[in-house]
Amino acid sequence: MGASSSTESNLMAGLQRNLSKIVVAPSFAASLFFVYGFILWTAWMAFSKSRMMPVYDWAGLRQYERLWQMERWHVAIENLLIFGGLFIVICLFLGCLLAVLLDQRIRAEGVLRTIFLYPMALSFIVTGTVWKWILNPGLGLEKMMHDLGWASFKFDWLVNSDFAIYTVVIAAVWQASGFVMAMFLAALRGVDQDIIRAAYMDGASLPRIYFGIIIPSIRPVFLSAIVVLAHLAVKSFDLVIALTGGGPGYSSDLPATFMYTMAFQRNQLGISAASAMMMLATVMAIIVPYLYSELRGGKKNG
Amino acid sequence: MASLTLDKVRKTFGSVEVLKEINLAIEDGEFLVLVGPSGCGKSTLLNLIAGLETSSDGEIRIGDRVINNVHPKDRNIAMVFQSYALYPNMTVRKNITFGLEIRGVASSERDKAVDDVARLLQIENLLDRKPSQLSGGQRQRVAMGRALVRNPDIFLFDEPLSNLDAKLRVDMRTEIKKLHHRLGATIVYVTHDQIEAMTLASRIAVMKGGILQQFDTPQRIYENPNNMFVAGFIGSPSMNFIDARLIEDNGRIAVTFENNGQNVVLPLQNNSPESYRSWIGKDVVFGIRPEALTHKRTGSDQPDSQYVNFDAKVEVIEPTGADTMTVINLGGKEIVARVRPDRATNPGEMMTFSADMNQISLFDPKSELRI
Ligand SMILES: Nc1ncnc2c1ncn2[C@@H]1O[C@H](COP(=O)(O)OP(=O)(O)O)[C@@H](O)[C@H]1O
Ligand SMILES: [Mg+2]
Repeated sequence: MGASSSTESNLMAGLQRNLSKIVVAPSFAASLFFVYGFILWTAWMAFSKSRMMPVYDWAGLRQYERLWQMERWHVAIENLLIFGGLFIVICLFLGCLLAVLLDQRIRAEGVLRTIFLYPMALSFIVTGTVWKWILNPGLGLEKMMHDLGWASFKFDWLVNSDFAIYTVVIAAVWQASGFVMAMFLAALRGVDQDIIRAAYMDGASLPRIYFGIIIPSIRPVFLSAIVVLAHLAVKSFDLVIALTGGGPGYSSDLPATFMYTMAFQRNQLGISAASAMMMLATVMAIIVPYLYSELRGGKKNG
Repeated sequence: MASLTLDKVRKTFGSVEVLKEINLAIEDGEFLVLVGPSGCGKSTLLNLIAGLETSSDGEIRIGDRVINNVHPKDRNIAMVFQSYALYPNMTVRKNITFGLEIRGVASSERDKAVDDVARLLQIENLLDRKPSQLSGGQRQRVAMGRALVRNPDIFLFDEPLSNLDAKLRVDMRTEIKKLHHRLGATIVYVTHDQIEAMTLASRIAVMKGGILQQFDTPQRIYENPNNMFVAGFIGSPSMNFIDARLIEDNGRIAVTFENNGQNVVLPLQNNSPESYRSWIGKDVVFGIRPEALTHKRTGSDQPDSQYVNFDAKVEVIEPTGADTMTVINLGGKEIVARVRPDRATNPGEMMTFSADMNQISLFDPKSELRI
């Protein structure tokens, strides 16, 4: 009896010890397979001759060559640069400005903070759809201005192929700047109030205090915000789909919508996979140095 | 020229009155220490002088100039903060010159000023470092340098030493005192540490709950505390308080209290204040500092000696090296006596103590004010 109960208790103890590992194992396996497995599979596809259906014969860099010859891919890349650049810069600027204003200990701060942060809680689809209505010349802002008697008002960016990408910027900024604000506000609140008082007594004006002392001293937050915004920009997909559908024509295509179109509408699985790998490389180029510096920084501090 | 006057200054936050009618006045070159338990409004008072807060009522003057509505930067006041408040993104040199730069001082003059201050504070080799690369003591020096370089009329210090370890604190304390002698500057210094207050101040303002309790020289505050709070707050170990009664005994006024079923009678000195007479037959609080309560002294047997003897059982002894703190039970209270180590006895034994009746205080048990 002693022997059997001791093996049983050994088993239980082993189970106890490894319980967390056992619980995590399925999701770990799933993410290993569905995320990293499919990354590898996509990488393989990009070197294959796949068109409509996946095939596994080696084609070398052929798909990448075809990708970089496509006018549409160039439009998507150019759009990404415009969109990403403006999105990041405007979000940082607005987020920072809002945070500084909210940092003045105004009365309605709690309410305002929530209002600014709410857009982040929405899905990009919702944001896209709402902004599609607002920016639609026949429905939204333009019509409202006309109804109010401002007949010459014109705001047709949504349907103008030269400007459609900027509407994506507007919607994305609306969604993400509150989040950036929250990041900055947290950092500003972490700044010792005595520093502000000291600078004040030194005779510095409020803008000088912020731009000369406080904002430079929260530089790490800028880096974090840029990384978050940059990867949001690169993977932007649903917003474009909901807002412009990549149109007019393919004038507001981004790499992600390009990839989707190639894979599921144009039967160009290989090109699609190649474009996906280009995006992965871009994100890695942003994230890896960041993580590296974070981890190294952590070690230095620890 | 840089005297400081606070005239009926009050401060309320919303409906909370944090400072209640503070009246203070110091001369040019004085070292005023504001001392009191935390939350008593010391920092608020300092901020009022600095101009970081505006007073709700009353007048603040530097020299003859009313500064209530003068912007902080125009008051010619410099402040050293508890957290040092160095600008983290700037080098030590930039930290020190920032204020000068804003005031439009020429760069050659700034360089000279930094060099002078750095030499004075011995931080020449730190000038190109960032605050994050400095130790606490070094940051403290830089913070002082930033104040010194501006050559202000008045220096304000808000608990500048409380983030340093004990040894460094004592060193910096001495250094601040030296600096004061050297510069002859007017200083207002906030601390909750009564030893710092005693050692540094030319005058001490003791505060509690937003009320100024006493404003006087360190020695007078120590010897003639206005009330039981000041008496207990200043001095370490703090003053002993015994519930007693004032009686007339053979024509002399004496305090008496019960101890272990016996009446202890301690006659007061003949030169005691007349005001004591009106308290005969009433309850008082008898306050005596530990150093006035020692082993039996020579000459203490003479009838009109200032020393009065009594016996008590030793409960605990706490040797400090120089003296042995002897805890006895007197009138139902734990009382600390300061005994020379070679005269100390072991716990549990009886011992004869001498009370120095020249160094006693009597308080009204209700109002807690000095009689
Ligand atoms: N900005 C403020 N608003 C409301 N109450 C305050 C403010 N600043 C200080 N107080 C209150 O005033 C009292 C005195 O504070 P303070 O001057 O910082 O005390 P000390 O420096 O003596 O520790 C405290 O009870 C504190 O809670
Ligand atoms: Mg304080």
